[in-house]
Amino acid sequence: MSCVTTAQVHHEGGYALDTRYILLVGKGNSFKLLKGDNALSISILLHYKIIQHPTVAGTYKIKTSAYYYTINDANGKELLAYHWHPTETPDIPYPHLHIGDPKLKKFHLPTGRVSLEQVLRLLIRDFKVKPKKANWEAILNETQDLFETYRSWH
Amino acid sequence: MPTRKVKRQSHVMTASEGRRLFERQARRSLNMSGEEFIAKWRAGKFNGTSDTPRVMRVAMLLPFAER
Repeated sequence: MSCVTTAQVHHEGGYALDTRYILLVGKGNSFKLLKGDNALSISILLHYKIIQHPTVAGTYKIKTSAYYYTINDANGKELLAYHWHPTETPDIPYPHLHIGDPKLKKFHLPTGRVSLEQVLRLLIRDFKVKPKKANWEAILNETQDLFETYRSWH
Repeated sequence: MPTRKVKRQSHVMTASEGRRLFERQARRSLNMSGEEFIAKWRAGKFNGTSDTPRVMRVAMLLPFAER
Protein backbone atom coordinates (compact mmCIF):
# COMPACT_ATOMS: atom_id res chain seq x y z
CA MET A 1 0.00 0.00 0.00
CA SER A 2 2.87 2.33 0.81
CA CYS A 3 3.61 2.53 -2.94
CA VAL A 4 0.62 4.85 -3.39
CA THR A 5 -0.48 6.15 0.00
CA THR A 6 0.40 6.86 3.60
CA ALA A 7 -3.16 5.98 4.67
CA GLN A 8 -3.25 3.57 7.58
CA VAL A 9 -4.19 -0.08 7.32
CA HIS A 10 -6.93 -0.86 9.83
CA HIS A 11 -7.54 -4.42 10.93
CA GLU A 12 -9.17 -6.29 13.74
CA GLY A 13 -6.03 -7.82 15.14
CA GLY A 14 -7.54 -11.20 16.03
CA TYR A 15 -5.70 -14.50 15.71
CA ALA A 16 -8.50 -17.05 16.16
CA LEU A 17 -8.40 -19.78 13.54
CA ASP A 18 -11.05 -19.94 10.81
CA THR A 19 -12.61 -16.68 11.95
CA ARG A 20 -13.50 -14.02 9.42
CA TYR A 21 -11.70 -10.72 10.03
CA ILE A 22 -11.80 -7.42 8.18
CA LEU A 23 -8.86 -5.41 6.90
CA LEU A 24 -9.40 -2.01 5.29
CA VAL A 25 -7.33 0.98 4.27
CA GLY A 26 -7.91 4.58 5.33
CA LYS A 27 -10.08 5.97 8.06
CA GLY A 28 -13.65 5.58 6.84
CA ASN A 29 -12.50 2.86 4.43
CA SER A 30 -11.33 5.08 1.61
CA PHE A 31 -8.50 7.41 0.78
CA LYS A 32 -7.88 10.07 -1.82
CA LEU A 33 -5.43 9.90 -4.68
CA LEU A 34 -4.62 12.72 -7.08
CA LYS A 35 -6.07 16.21 -6.91
CA GLY A 36 -8.14 18.57 -9.04
CA ASP A 37 -10.14 17.36 -12.02
CA ASN A 38 -8.41 13.98 -11.95
CA ALA A 39 -9.02 13.37 -8.26
CA LEU A 40 -9.80 9.79 -7.30
CA SER A 41 -10.57 7.88 -4.18
CA ILE A 42 -10.31 4.18 -3.60
CA SER A 43 -11.90 1.79 -1.14
CA ILE A 44 -9.91 -1.30 -0.27
CA LEU A 45 -11.40 -3.91 2.00
CA LEU A 46 -10.63 -7.59 2.47
CA HIS A 47 -12.07 -10.37 4.56
CA TYR A 48 -9.51 -12.90 5.67
CA LYS A 49 -9.11 -15.95 7.87
CA ILE A 50 -6.10 -17.46 9.55
CA ILE A 51 -6.07 -21.15 8.72
CA GLN A 52 -3.82 -24.12 9.26
CA HIS A 53 -1.64 -24.56 6.21
CA PRO A 54 -3.22 -27.33 4.11
CA THR A 55 0.06 -29.05 3.27
CA VAL A 56 2.75 -27.86 5.69
CA ALA A 57 2.01 -29.27 9.14
CA GLY A 58 2.33 -26.91 12.07
CA THR A 59 2.20 -23.74 10.00
CA TYR A 60 -0.53 -21.24 9.28
CA LYS A 61 -1.51 -18.99 6.43
CA ILE A 62 -3.81 -16.09 5.70
CA LYS A 63 -6.67 -16.97 3.40
CA THR A 64 -8.58 -14.18 1.67
CA SER A 65 -12.31 -14.87 1.82
CA ALA A 66 -13.55 -11.73 0.04
CA TYR A 67 -12.20 -8.57 -1.52
CA TYR A 68 -13.62 -5.19 -2.47
CA TYR A 69 -11.55 -2.74 -4.52
CA THR A 70 -13.56 0.22 -5.77
CA ILE A 71 -12.15 3.25 -7.57
CA ASN A 72 -14.29 6.42 -7.40
CA ASP A 73 -14.03 9.78 -9.17
CA ALA A 74 -13.75 13.16 -7.45
CA ASN A 75 -17.50 13.19 -6.73
CA GLY A 76 -17.50 9.74 -5.20
CA LYS A 77 -19.07 8.15 -8.30
CA GLU A 78 -17.88 4.60 -8.89
CA LEU A 79 -15.65 4.30 -11.94
CA LEU A 80 -14.86 0.62 -11.61
CA ALA A 81 -14.87 -2.01 -8.93
CA TYR A 82 -13.19 -5.39 -8.63
CA HIS A 83 -15.21 -7.55 -6.25
CA TRP A 84 -15.29 -11.06 -4.92
CA HIS A 85 -17.61 -11.79 -1.99
CA PRO A 86 -19.04 -15.32 -2.32
CA THR A 87 -20.46 -15.43 1.21
CA GLU A 88 -22.43 -12.21 0.85
CA THR A 89 -23.76 -13.02 -2.65
CA PRO A 90 -23.84 -16.82 -3.07
CA ASP A 91 -25.59 -16.36 -6.42
CA ILE A 92 -22.49 -14.50 -7.68
CA PRO A 93 -19.65 -16.57 -6.25
CA TYR A 94 -17.05 -15.62 -8.85
CA PRO A 95 -14.69 -12.62 -8.97
CA HIS A 96 -16.15 -9.85 -11.11
CA LEU A 97 -15.79 -6.30 -12.34
CA HIS A 98 -18.37 -3.53 -12.09
CA ILE A 99 -18.20 -0.65 -14.55
CA GLY A 100 -19.53 2.73 -13.38
CA ASP A 101 -21.43 3.36 -16.62
CA PRO A 102 -25.14 3.45 -15.62
CA LYS A 103 -26.05 0.92 -18.34
CA LEU A 104 -23.49 -1.58 -17.03
CA LYS A 105 -23.53 -0.83 -13.33
CA LYS A 106 -25.45 -3.94 -12.31
CA PHE A 107 -23.50 -6.23 -14.61
CA HIS A 108 -21.01 -8.65 -13.09
CA LEU A 109 -18.26 -8.99 -15.64
CA PRO A 110 -16.34 -12.17 -14.77
CA THR A 111 -12.65 -11.86 -14.02
CA GLY A 112 -9.94 -14.08 -12.61
CA ARG A 113 -8.80 -13.44 -9.09
CA VAL A 114 -7.48 -9.88 -8.89
CA SER A 115 -4.64 -9.12 -6.52
CA LEU A 116 -4.16 -5.89 -4.64
CA GLU A 117 -0.84 -5.48 -6.45
CA GLN A 118 -2.64 -5.52 -9.81
CA VAL A 119 -4.98 -2.77 -8.63
CA LEU A 120 -2.10 -0.65 -7.36
CA ARG A 121 -0.29 -1.08 -10.70
CA LEU A 122 -3.46 -0.01 -12.51
CA LEU A 123 -3.60 3.14 -10.39
CA ILE A 124 0.00 4.04 -11.13
CA ARG A 125 0.22 3.08 -14.79
CA ASP A 126 -3.21 4.01 -16.14
CA PHE A 127 -4.72 6.46 -13.66
CA LYS A 128 -1.34 8.21 -13.35
CA VAL A 129 -1.20 8.14 -9.57
CA LYS A 130 2.24 9.30 -8.56
CA PRO A 131 4.06 6.46 -6.76
CA LYS A 132 5.41 7.24 -3.33
CA LYS A 133 8.37 4.93 -3.78
CA ALA A 134 10.85 4.97 -6.65
CA ASN A 135 11.15 1.17 -6.53
CA TRP A 136 7.39 0.57 -6.58
CA GLU A 137 7.62 -1.92 -9.44
CA ALA A 138 10.13 -4.09 -7.61
CA ILE A 139 8.03 -3.96 -4.41
CA LEU A 140 4.82 -4.90 -6.19
CA ASN A 141 6.53 -7.64 -8.20
CA GLU A 142 7.98 -9.15 -5.04
CA THR A 143 4.70 -9.18 -3.12
CA GLN A 144 2.81 -10.38 -6.22
CA ASP A 145 5.24 -13.30 -6.50
CA LEU A 146 4.59 -14.23 -2.87
CA PHE A 147 0.85 -13.98 -3.43
CA GLU A 148 1.05 -16.23 -6.49
CA THR A 149 3.24 -18.74 -4.68
CA TYR A 150 0.93 -19.17 -1.71
CA ARG A 151 -2.56 -18.55 -3.12
CA SER A 152 -4.84 -21.56 -3.11
CA TRP A 153 -6.88 -20.59 -6.20
CA HIS A 154 -6.88 -18.18 -9.13
CA MET B 1 15.85 18.50 19.17
CA PRO B 2 12.34 18.72 17.71
CA THR B 3 10.52 15.42 17.55
CA ARG B 4 8.73 14.30 14.41
CA LYS B 5 5.41 12.57 14.83
CA VAL B 6 5.45 9.31 12.88
CA LYS B 7 2.12 7.82 11.85
CA ARG B 8 1.89 4.11 12.49
CA GLN B 9 1.28 2.12 9.32
CA SER B 10 -1.42 -0.02 10.87
CA HIS B 11 -4.12 0.37 13.46
CA VAL B 12 -5.98 -2.35 15.35
CA MET B 13 -9.64 -1.44 15.37
CA THR B 14 -11.74 -1.98 18.44
CA ALA B 15 -15.18 -3.56 18.18
CA SER B 16 -16.84 -0.20 18.84
CA GLU B 17 -14.76 1.51 16.13
CA GLY B 18 -15.91 -1.20 13.73
CA ARG B 19 -19.56 -0.77 14.65
CA ARG B 20 -19.29 3.01 14.26
CA LEU B 21 -17.76 2.61 10.81
CA PHE B 22 -20.54 0.23 9.77
CA GLU B 23 -23.19 2.69 10.99
CA ARG B 24 -21.51 5.64 9.27
CA GLN B 25 -21.21 3.82 5.95
CA ALA B 26 -24.85 2.71 6.01
CA ARG B 27 -25.94 6.32 6.51
CA ARG B 28 -23.49 7.78 4.02
CA SER B 29 -23.85 5.21 1.25
CA LEU B 30 -27.53 4.28 1.54
CA ASN B 31 -29.07 6.94 3.77
CA MET B 32 -30.29 4.43 6.32
CA SER B 33 -29.26 3.31 9.78
CA GLY B 34 -27.12 0.25 10.31
CA GLU B 35 -30.03 -1.47 12.01
CA GLU B 36 -32.27 -0.75 9.03
CA PHE B 37 -29.64 -2.11 6.65
CA ILE B 38 -29.29 -5.34 8.63
CA ALA B 39 -33.06 -5.86 8.68
CA LYS B 40 -33.35 -5.28 4.93
CA TRP B 41 -30.30 -7.38 4.12
CA ARG B 42 -31.57 -10.33 6.17
CA ALA B 43 -35.02 -10.00 4.63
CA GLY B 44 -33.49 -10.16 1.15
CA LYS B 45 -34.74 -6.67 0.28
CA PHE B 46 -31.60 -5.94 -1.69
CA ASN B 47 -32.11 -8.94 -3.95
CA GLY B 48 -31.56 -7.98 -7.53
CA THR B 49 -29.69 -4.86 -6.56
CA SER B 50 -27.59 -6.40 -3.83
CA ASP B 51 -24.31 -6.39 -5.61
CA THR B 52 -23.80 -2.75 -6.43
CA PRO B 53 -20.61 -1.23 -5.05
CA ARG B 54 -22.67 1.07 -2.81
CA VAL B 55 -24.64 -1.75 -1.16
CA MET B 56 -21.64 -4.05 -0.96
CA ARG B 57 -19.61 -1.31 0.66
CA VAL B 58 -21.93 -1.62 3.65
CA ALA B 59 -22.48 -5.38 3.40
CA MET B 60 -18.75 -6.03 3.57
CA LEU B 61 -18.72 -4.29 6.95
CA LEU B 62 -21.49 -6.50 8.37
CA PRO B 63 -19.05 -8.61 10.42
CA PHE B 64 -18.35 -5.47 12.46
CA ALA B 65 -22.01 -5.24 13.38
CA GLU B 66 -22.02 -8.88 14.45
CA ARG B 67 -19.08 -8.62 16.88
